Amino acid sequence: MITALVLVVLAVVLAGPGPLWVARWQWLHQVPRSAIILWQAGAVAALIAVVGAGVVLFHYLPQTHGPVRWIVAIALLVFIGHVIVRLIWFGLLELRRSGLRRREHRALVDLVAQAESGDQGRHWVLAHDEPVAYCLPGLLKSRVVVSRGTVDTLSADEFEAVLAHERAHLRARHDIVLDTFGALHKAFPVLIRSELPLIESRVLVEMMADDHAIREVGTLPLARALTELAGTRAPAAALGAGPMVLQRITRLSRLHPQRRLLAVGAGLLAAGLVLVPAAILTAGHLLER
Amino acid sequence: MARLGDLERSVMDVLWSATEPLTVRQVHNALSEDRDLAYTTVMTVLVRLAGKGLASRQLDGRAWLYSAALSREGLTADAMHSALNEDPDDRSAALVAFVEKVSADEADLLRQALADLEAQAETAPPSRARKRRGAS
Repeated sequence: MITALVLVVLAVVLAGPGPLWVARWQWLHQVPRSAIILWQAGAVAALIAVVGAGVVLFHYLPQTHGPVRWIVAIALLVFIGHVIVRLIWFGLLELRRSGLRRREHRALVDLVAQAESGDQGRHWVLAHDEPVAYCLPGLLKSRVVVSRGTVDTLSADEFEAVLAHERAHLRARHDIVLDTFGALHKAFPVLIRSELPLIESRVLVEMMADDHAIREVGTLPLARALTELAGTRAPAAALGAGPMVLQRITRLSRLHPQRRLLAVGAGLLAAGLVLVPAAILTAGHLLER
Repeated sequence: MARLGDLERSVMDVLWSATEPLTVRQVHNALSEDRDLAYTTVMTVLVRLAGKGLASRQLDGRAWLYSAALSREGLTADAMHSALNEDPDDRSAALVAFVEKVSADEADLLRQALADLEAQAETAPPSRARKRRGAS
Protein backbone atom coordinates (compact mmCIF):
# COMPACT_ATOMS: atom_id res chain seq x y z
CA MET A 1 0.00 0.00 0.00
CA ILE A 2 2.75 2.44 0.99
CA THR A 3 4.77 1.28 -2.00
CA ALA A 4 1.86 2.03 -4.34
CA LEU A 5 1.36 5.44 -2.79
CA VAL A 6 5.06 6.31 -3.09
CA LEU A 7 5.05 5.17 -6.73
CA VAL A 8 2.02 7.27 -7.60
CA VAL A 9 3.56 10.31 -5.91
CA LEU A 10 6.72 9.66 -7.91
CA ALA A 11 4.70 9.47 -11.14
CA VAL A 12 2.96 12.75 -10.33
CA VAL A 13 6.28 14.44 -9.56
CA LEU A 14 7.77 13.13 -12.79
CA ALA A 15 4.78 14.35 -14.78
CA GLY A 16 4.42 17.80 -13.21
CA PRO A 17 7.06 19.53 -11.06
CA GLY A 18 10.01 17.44 -12.29
CA PRO A 19 9.96 18.80 -15.83
CA LEU A 20 9.67 22.38 -14.49
CA TRP A 21 12.97 21.86 -12.77
CA VAL A 22 14.79 20.00 -15.55
CA ALA A 23 13.66 22.46 -18.24
CA ARG A 24 15.78 25.11 -16.49
CA TRP A 25 18.97 23.13 -17.08
CA GLN A 26 20.45 25.12 -19.94
CA TRP A 27 23.40 22.74 -20.22
CA LEU A 28 21.09 20.06 -21.61
CA HIS A 29 20.92 22.06 -24.84
CA GLN A 30 24.62 21.38 -25.29
CA VAL A 31 23.94 17.68 -25.63
CA PRO A 32 20.52 17.33 -27.27
CA ARG A 33 20.77 13.60 -27.94
CA SER A 34 21.45 12.76 -24.29
CA ALA A 35 18.92 15.34 -23.19
CA ILE A 36 16.20 13.63 -25.24
CA ILE A 37 17.17 10.34 -23.60
CA LEU A 38 16.88 11.99 -20.20
CA TRP A 39 13.38 13.28 -20.99
CA GLN A 40 12.41 9.87 -22.32
CA ALA A 41 13.80 8.27 -19.18
CA GLY A 42 11.63 10.58 -17.12
CA ALA A 43 8.57 9.49 -19.06
CA VAL A 44 9.50 5.82 -18.84
CA ALA A 45 10.14 6.13 -15.10
CA ALA A 46 6.71 7.75 -14.67
CA LEU A 47 5.11 4.90 -16.60
CA ILE A 48 6.96 2.22 -14.66
CA ALA A 49 5.83 3.93 -11.46
CA VAL A 50 2.19 4.00 -12.60
CA VAL A 51 2.11 0.42 -13.85
CA GLY A 52 4.14 -0.78 -10.85
CA ALA A 53 1.69 0.89 -8.48
CA GLY A 54 -1.16 -0.84 -10.27
CA VAL A 55 0.45 -4.25 -9.95
CA VAL A 56 1.26 -3.72 -6.26
CA LEU A 57 -2.29 -2.60 -5.51
CA PHE A 58 -3.88 -5.56 -7.24
CA HIS A 59 -1.57 -7.78 -5.27
CA TYR A 60 -2.41 -6.30 -1.86
CA LEU A 61 -6.04 -5.37 -2.35
CA PRO A 62 -7.40 -8.66 -0.92
CA GLN A 63 -5.54 -8.02 2.36
CA THR A 64 -6.81 -4.47 2.70
CA HIS A 65 -8.88 -3.55 5.75
CA GLY A 66 -10.72 -0.40 6.80
CA PRO A 67 -12.65 2.15 4.70
CA VAL A 68 -9.84 4.71 4.39
CA ARG A 69 -7.47 2.19 2.90
CA TRP A 70 -10.14 1.07 0.47
CA ILE A 71 -10.85 4.62 -0.66
CA VAL A 72 -7.13 5.34 -1.16
CA ALA A 73 -6.67 2.07 -3.02
CA ILE A 74 -9.62 2.69 -5.32
CA ALA A 75 -8.58 6.30 -5.99
CA LEU A 76 -5.11 5.09 -6.92
CA LEU A 77 -6.52 2.40 -9.20
CA VAL A 78 -8.77 4.91 -10.97
CA PHE A 79 -5.78 7.19 -11.58
CA ILE A 80 -3.62 4.34 -12.87
CA GLY A 81 -6.32 2.98 -15.14
CA HIS A 82 -7.00 6.47 -16.43
CA VAL A 83 -3.37 7.04 -17.41
CA ILE A 84 -2.95 3.66 -19.06
CA VAL A 85 -6.17 3.86 -21.08
CA ARG A 86 -5.39 7.42 -22.17
CA LEU A 87 -1.88 6.46 -23.17
CA ILE A 88 -3.05 3.65 -25.42
CA TRP A 89 -5.93 5.69 -26.85
CA PHE A 90 -4.02 8.89 -27.50
CA GLY A 91 -0.90 7.05 -28.62
CA LEU A 92 -2.80 5.33 -31.39
CA LEU A 93 -4.76 8.47 -32.22
CA GLU A 94 -1.62 10.62 -32.42
CA LEU A 95 0.19 8.16 -34.67
CA ARG A 96 -2.83 7.79 -36.93
CA ARG A 97 -3.44 11.51 -37.20
CA SER A 98 0.10 12.53 -38.04
CA GLY A 99 0.50 9.55 -40.38
CA LEU A 100 -2.64 10.55 -42.24
CA ARG A 101 -1.66 14.17 -42.50
CA ARG A 102 1.78 13.29 -43.83
CA ARG A 103 0.36 10.86 -46.38
CA GLU A 104 -2.07 13.44 -47.71
CA HIS A 105 0.65 16.02 -47.86
CA ARG A 106 3.06 13.65 -49.60
CA ALA A 107 0.48 12.93 -52.30
CA LEU A 108 0.16 16.67 -52.88
CA VAL A 109 3.93 17.17 -53.00
CA ASP A 110 4.33 14.27 -55.44
CA LEU A 111 1.74 15.87 -57.67
CA VAL A 112 3.14 19.39 -57.85
CA ALA A 113 6.76 19.44 -56.65
CA GLN A 114 9.79 18.95 -58.85
CA ALA A 115 12.27 16.30 -57.73
CA GLU A 116 15.86 17.51 -57.94
CA SER A 117 19.06 15.63 -57.20
CA GLY A 118 21.80 16.96 -54.97
CA ASP A 119 25.06 15.50 -53.74
CA GLN A 120 23.42 13.65 -50.86
CA GLY A 121 20.14 12.60 -52.44
CA ARG A 122 16.98 14.02 -53.85
CA HIS A 123 14.82 16.84 -52.59
CA TRP A 124 11.47 18.11 -53.82
CA VAL A 125 10.99 21.73 -54.84
CA LEU A 126 7.67 23.56 -54.64
CA ALA A 127 7.29 26.40 -57.13
CA HIS A 128 6.62 29.16 -54.61
CA ASP A 129 8.47 32.35 -53.70
CA GLU A 130 7.98 32.14 -49.95
CA PRO A 131 10.91 30.28 -48.40
CA VAL A 132 10.06 27.07 -46.58
CA ALA A 133 11.90 23.83 -45.83
CA TYR A 134 10.62 20.73 -44.09
CA CYS A 135 10.65 16.98 -44.29
CA LEU A 136 8.05 14.28 -44.72
CA PRO A 137 9.13 11.27 -42.69
CA GLY A 138 8.20 7.77 -43.68
CA LEU A 139 9.59 4.28 -43.88
CA LEU A 140 10.09 4.21 -47.65
CA LYS A 141 8.81 7.41 -49.18
CA SER A 142 10.41 10.05 -47.00
CA ARG A 143 11.05 13.40 -48.64
CA VAL A 144 12.88 16.65 -48.02
CA VAL A 145 10.73 19.46 -49.39
CA VAL A 146 11.84 23.04 -50.05
CA SER A 147 10.30 25.90 -51.96
CA ARG A 148 11.86 27.73 -54.89
CA GLY A 149 12.08 30.73 -52.56
CA THR A 150 14.44 28.75 -50.31
CA VAL A 151 16.66 27.71 -53.23
CA ASP A 152 16.85 31.31 -54.47
CA THR A 153 17.44 32.90 -51.07
CA LEU A 154 20.24 30.72 -49.77
CA SER A 155 23.82 30.33 -50.88
CA ALA A 156 25.02 26.85 -51.83
CA ASP A 157 26.47 25.97 -48.41
CA GLU A 158 23.49 27.41 -46.53
CA PHE A 159 21.19 25.30 -48.68
CA GLU A 160 23.32 22.22 -47.99
CA ALA A 161 23.03 22.95 -44.26
CA VAL A 162 19.22 23.00 -44.53
CA LEU A 163 19.20 19.72 -46.46
CA ALA A 164 21.60 18.11 -43.96
CA HIS A 165 19.36 19.24 -41.09
CA GLU A 166 16.22 17.81 -42.69
CA ARG A 167 17.91 14.57 -43.71
CA ALA A 168 19.00 14.12 -40.09
CA HIS A 169 15.33 14.33 -39.05
CA LEU A 170 14.42 11.66 -41.59
CA ARG A 171 17.30 9.33 -40.81
CA ALA A 172 16.92 9.40 -37.03
CA ARG A 173 13.09 9.27 -37.26
CA HIS A 174 12.65 12.31 -35.03
CA ASP A 175 8.97 12.22 -35.94
CA ILE A 176 8.58 9.05 -33.84
CA VAL A 177 10.31 10.75 -30.91
CA LEU A 178 7.89 13.70 -31.13
CA ASP A 179 4.80 11.52 -31.62
CA THR A 180 5.78 9.51 -28.53
CA PHE A 181 6.13 12.62 -26.41
CA GLY A 182 2.81 13.86 -27.78
CA ALA A 183 1.09 10.64 -26.74
CA LEU A 184 2.75 10.58 -23.31
CA HIS A 185 1.77 14.17 -22.73
CA LYS A 186 -1.88 13.41 -23.39
CA ALA A 187 -1.79 10.26 -21.24
CA PHE A 188 -1.42 12.18 -17.98
CA PRO A 189 -4.44 14.03 -16.56
CA VAL A 190 -4.54 17.72 -17.43
CA LEU A 191 -4.19 18.84 -13.82
CA ILE A 192 -0.80 17.33 -13.16
CA ARG A 193 0.83 17.08 -16.53
CA SER A 194 3.43 19.51 -17.79
CA GLU A 195 3.75 20.65 -21.36
CA LEU A 196 7.49 21.07 -20.92
CA PRO A 197 8.66 17.61 -22.03
CA LEU A 198 6.75 18.12 -25.27
CA ILE A 199 8.12 21.62 -25.83
CA GLU A 200 11.65 20.62 -24.86
CA SER A 201 11.60 17.52 -27.08
CA ARG A 202 10.69 19.72 -30.05
CA VAL A 203 13.61 22.07 -29.39
CA LEU A 204 15.98 19.18 -28.74
CA VAL A 205 15.27 17.28 -31.97
CA GLU A 206 15.88 20.52 -33.87
CA MET A 207 19.19 20.89 -32.06
CA MET A 208 20.11 17.29 -32.86
CA ALA A 209 19.46 17.94 -36.54
CA ASP A 210 21.44 21.21 -36.23
CA ASP A 211 24.39 19.28 -34.80
CA HIS A 212 24.27 17.02 -37.84
CA ALA A 213 24.23 20.03 -40.21
CA ILE A 214 27.20 21.51 -38.32
CA ARG A 215 29.18 18.30 -38.79
CA GLU A 216 28.33 18.11 -42.49
CA VAL A 217 28.48 21.75 -43.54
CA GLY A 218 29.54 23.98 -40.64
CA THR A 219 28.17 26.32 -38.01
CA LEU A 220 28.06 29.57 -39.96
CA PRO A 221 26.13 28.33 -43.01
CA LEU A 222 23.56 26.83 -40.64
CA ALA A 223 23.27 30.03 -38.60
CA ARG A 224 22.85 32.11 -41.75
CA ALA A 225 20.23 29.75 -43.14
CA LEU A 226 18.31 29.93 -39.84
CA THR A 227 18.37 33.72 -39.90
CA GLU A 228 17.39 34.04 -43.55
CA LEU A 229 14.58 31.51 -43.47
CA ALA A 230 12.98 32.67 -40.22
CA GLY A 231 10.07 34.45 -41.83
CA THR A 232 8.36 37.23 -39.95
CA ARG A 233 4.81 37.04 -38.73
CA ALA A 234 2.36 39.31 -37.04
CA PRO A 235 3.29 39.70 -33.35
CA ALA A 236 -0.24 38.75 -32.26
CA ALA A 237 0.29 35.01 -32.45
CA ALA A 238 3.01 34.93 -29.78
CA LEU A 239 2.96 31.59 -28.00
CA GLY A 240 5.09 30.01 -25.31
CA ALA A 241 8.58 31.02 -24.33
CA GLY A 242 9.86 32.69 -27.48
CA PRO A 243 10.79 31.04 -30.74
CA MET A 244 12.93 27.93 -30.82
CA VAL A 245 15.16 29.45 -33.47
CA LEU A 246 16.55 31.98 -30.97
CA GLN A 247 17.50 29.20 -28.58
CA ARG A 248 19.05 27.30 -31.46
CA ILE A 249 21.16 30.16 -32.77
CA THR A 250 22.39 31.44 -29.40
CA ARG A 251 23.39 27.89 -28.59
CA LEU A 252 25.63 27.80 -31.68
CA SER A 253 27.93 30.45 -30.22
CA ARG A 254 28.15 28.68 -26.88
CA LEU A 255 28.86 25.11 -27.87
CA HIS A 256 31.22 23.73 -25.27
CA PRO A 257 34.34 21.90 -26.43
CA GLN A 258 33.94 19.33 -23.67
CA ARG A 259 30.30 18.53 -24.19
CA ARG A 260 30.99 14.81 -24.33
CA LEU A 261 31.31 14.89 -20.53
CA LEU A 262 27.94 16.57 -20.24
CA ALA A 263 26.47 13.87 -22.47
CA VAL A 264 27.79 11.20 -20.11
CA GLY A 265 26.32 13.09 -17.16
CA ALA A 266 22.88 13.31 -18.76
CA GLY A 267 23.07 9.62 -19.70
CA LEU A 268 23.86 8.61 -16.12
CA LEU A 269 21.00 10.74 -14.84
CA ALA A 270 18.67 9.05 -17.32
CA ALA A 271 19.74 5.59 -16.18
CA GLY A 272 19.32 6.60 -12.54
CA LEU A 273 15.86 7.98 -13.21
CA VAL A 274 14.60 4.71 -14.68
CA LEU A 275 16.08 2.82 -11.73
CA VAL A 276 14.21 4.89 -9.11
CA PRO A 277 10.76 3.27 -9.54
CA ALA A 278 12.40 -0.14 -9.92
CA ALA A 279 14.26 0.43 -6.66
CA ILE A 280 11.07 1.50 -4.86
CA LEU A 281 9.29 -1.61 -6.13
CA THR A 282 12.11 -3.86 -4.91
CA ALA A 283 12.40 -2.13 -1.55
CA GLY A 284 8.65 -2.30 -1.06
CA HIS A 285 8.63 -5.96 -1.92
CA LEU A 286 11.41 -6.75 0.54
CA LEU A 287 9.92 -4.65 3.36
CA GLU A 288 6.36 -5.88 3.10
CA ARG A 289 7.31 -9.53 2.97
CA MET B 1 1.10 1.94 -56.05
CA ALA B 2 4.13 4.18 -56.60
CA ARG B 3 3.63 3.72 -60.37
CA LEU B 4 0.05 4.84 -60.06
CA GLY B 5 1.19 7.98 -58.23
CA ASP B 6 3.71 8.71 -61.01
CA LEU B 7 0.98 8.22 -63.60
CA GLU B 8 -1.37 10.57 -61.81
CA ARG B 9 1.29 13.20 -61.93
CA SER B 10 1.93 12.64 -65.65
CA VAL B 11 -1.78 12.77 -66.45
CA MET B 12 -2.20 15.97 -64.43
CA ASP B 13 0.78 17.47 -66.25
CA VAL B 14 -1.01 16.76 -69.55
CA LEU B 15 -4.24 18.31 -68.27
CA TRP B 16 -2.41 21.35 -66.91
CA SER B 17 -0.60 22.03 -70.16
CA ALA B 18 -3.76 21.60 -72.25
CA THR B 19 -5.70 24.69 -73.32
CA GLU B 20 -9.06 22.91 -73.51
CA PRO B 21 -10.71 19.79 -72.03
CA LEU B 22 -9.29 16.54 -73.38
CA THR B 23 -10.76 13.13 -74.19
CA VAL B 24 -9.18 10.01 -72.73
CA ARG B 25 -7.84 9.29 -76.23
CA GLN B 26 -6.09 12.67 -76.37
CA VAL B 27 -4.52 12.19 -72.94
CA HIS B 28 -3.45 8.69 -73.95
CA ASN B 29 -1.87 9.99 -77.15
CA ALA B 30 0.02 12.71 -75.29
CA LEU B 31 1.38 10.18 -72.79
CA SER B 32 2.18 7.50 -75.38
CA GLU B 33 4.80 9.71 -76.98
CA ASP B 34 7.43 8.64 -74.50
CA ARG B 35 6.05 5.47 -72.97
CA ASP B 36 3.96 2.41 -73.62
CA LEU B 37 0.62 2.75 -71.81
CA ALA B 38 -2.68 0.95 -72.12
CA TYR B 39 -5.68 3.10 -72.98
CA THR B 40 -7.63 1.57 -70.10
CA THR B 41 -4.88 2.49 -67.64
CA VAL B 42 -5.13 6.13 -68.64
CA MET B 43 -8.90 5.93 -68.32
CA THR B 44 -8.61 4.43 -64.83
CA VAL B 45 -6.22 7.17 -63.74
CA LEU B 46 -8.51 9.89 -65.10
CA VAL B 47 -11.52 8.42 -63.29
CA ARG B 48 -9.47 8.26 -60.08
CA LEU B 49 -8.34 11.87 -60.48
CA ALA B 50 -11.94 12.93 -61.05
CA GLY B 51 -12.92 10.97 -57.92
CA LYS B 52 -10.28 12.81 -55.93
CA GLY B 53 -11.54 16.14 -57.20
CA LEU B 54 -8.29 16.89 -59.01
CA ALA B 55 -9.83 16.56 -62.46
CA SER B 56 -13.31 17.54 -63.58
CA ARG B 57 -15.16 15.95 -66.44
CA GLN B 58 -18.08 16.84 -68.65
CA LEU B 59 -20.00 14.73 -71.18
CA ASP B 60 -19.57 15.87 -74.77
CA GLY B 61 -21.84 13.74 -76.96
CA ARG B 62 -20.68 10.21 -76.07
CA ALA B 63 -17.21 11.01 -74.77
CA TRP B 64 -16.08 12.35 -71.43
CA LEU B 65 -13.90 15.45 -71.60
CA TYR B 66 -11.40 15.88 -68.79
CA SER B 67 -9.76 19.04 -67.50
CA ALA B 68 -7.78 19.97 -64.39
CA ALA B 69 -10.15 20.98 -61.61
CA LEU B 70 -7.44 22.77 -59.66
CA SER B 71 -4.49 24.70 -60.98
CA ARG B 72 -0.95 23.60 -60.25
CA GLU B 73 -0.33 26.99 -58.63
CA GLY B 74 -3.37 26.56 -56.40
CA LEU B 75 -2.26 23.10 -55.26
CA THR B 76 1.26 24.38 -54.66
CA ALA B 77 -0.19 27.17 -52.55
CA ASP B 78 -2.19 24.53 -50.63
CA ALA B 79 0.98 22.53 -49.98
CA MET B 80 2.77 25.68 -48.83
CA HIS B 81 -0.09 26.66 -46.59
CA SER B 82 -0.22 23.28 -44.93
CA ALA B 83 3.58 23.24 -44.52
CA LEU B 84 3.64 26.72 -43.00
CA ASN B 85 0.58 26.02 -40.93
CA GLU B 86 1.13 27.16 -37.38
CA ASP B 87 -2.35 26.45 -36.19
CA PRO B 88 -2.06 26.32 -32.40
CA ASP B 89 -4.85 23.74 -32.24
CA ASP B 90 -2.85 21.33 -34.32
CA ARG B 91 -0.31 20.31 -31.71
CA SER B 92 0.76 17.27 -33.69
CA ALA B 93 4.21 17.37 -35.15
CA ALA B 94 3.17 15.98 -38.51
CA LEU B 95 4.95 18.71 -40.44
CA VAL B 96 7.75 20.63 -38.79
CA ALA B 97 9.40 23.43 -40.75
CA PHE B 98 13.18 23.99 -40.66
CA VAL B 99 12.57 27.23 -38.82
CA GLU B 100 9.44 28.93 -37.55
CA LYS B 101 8.12 32.42 -38.07
CA VAL B 102 9.26 35.11 -35.66
CA SER B 103 8.11 38.61 -34.78
CA ALA B 104 10.02 41.66 -36.03
CA ASP B 105 11.70 42.12 -32.62
CA GLU B 106 12.75 38.51 -32.55
CA ALA B 107 14.13 38.82 -36.07
CA ASP B 108 16.35 41.64 -34.80
CA LEU B 109 17.59 39.43 -31.95
CA LEU B 110 18.24 36.69 -34.47
CA ARG B 111 20.34 38.95 -36.69
CA GLN B 112 22.24 40.15 -33.63
CA ALA B 113 23.00 36.56 -32.62
CA LEU B 114 24.21 35.82 -36.14
CA ALA B 115 26.44 38.91 -36.08
CA ASP B 116 27.95 37.74 -32.76
CA LEU B 117 28.58 34.32 -34.24
CA GLU B 118 30.24 35.77 -37.33
CA ALA B 119 32.42 38.03 -35.19
CA GLN B 120 33.38 35.00 -33.13
CA ALA B 121 34.34 33.15 -36.31
CA GLU B 122 36.41 36.13 -37.50
CA THR B 123 38.57 36.00 -34.39
CA ALA B 124 38.84 32.21 -34.31
CA PRO B 125 41.42 30.98 -36.84
CA PRO B 126 39.63 27.95 -38.40
CA SER B 127 36.69 28.05 -40.84
CA ARG B 128 36.50 31.69 -41.74
CA ALA B 129 33.25 33.08 -43.11
CA ARG B 130 32.92 31.90 -46.67
CA LYS B 131 32.06 34.08 -49.61
CA ARG B 132 28.36 34.37 -50.33
CA ARG B 133 26.86 33.32 -53.62
CA GLY B 134 23.92 35.23 -55.09
CA ALA B 135 22.12 38.22 -53.66
CA SER B 136 19.04 38.72 -51.41
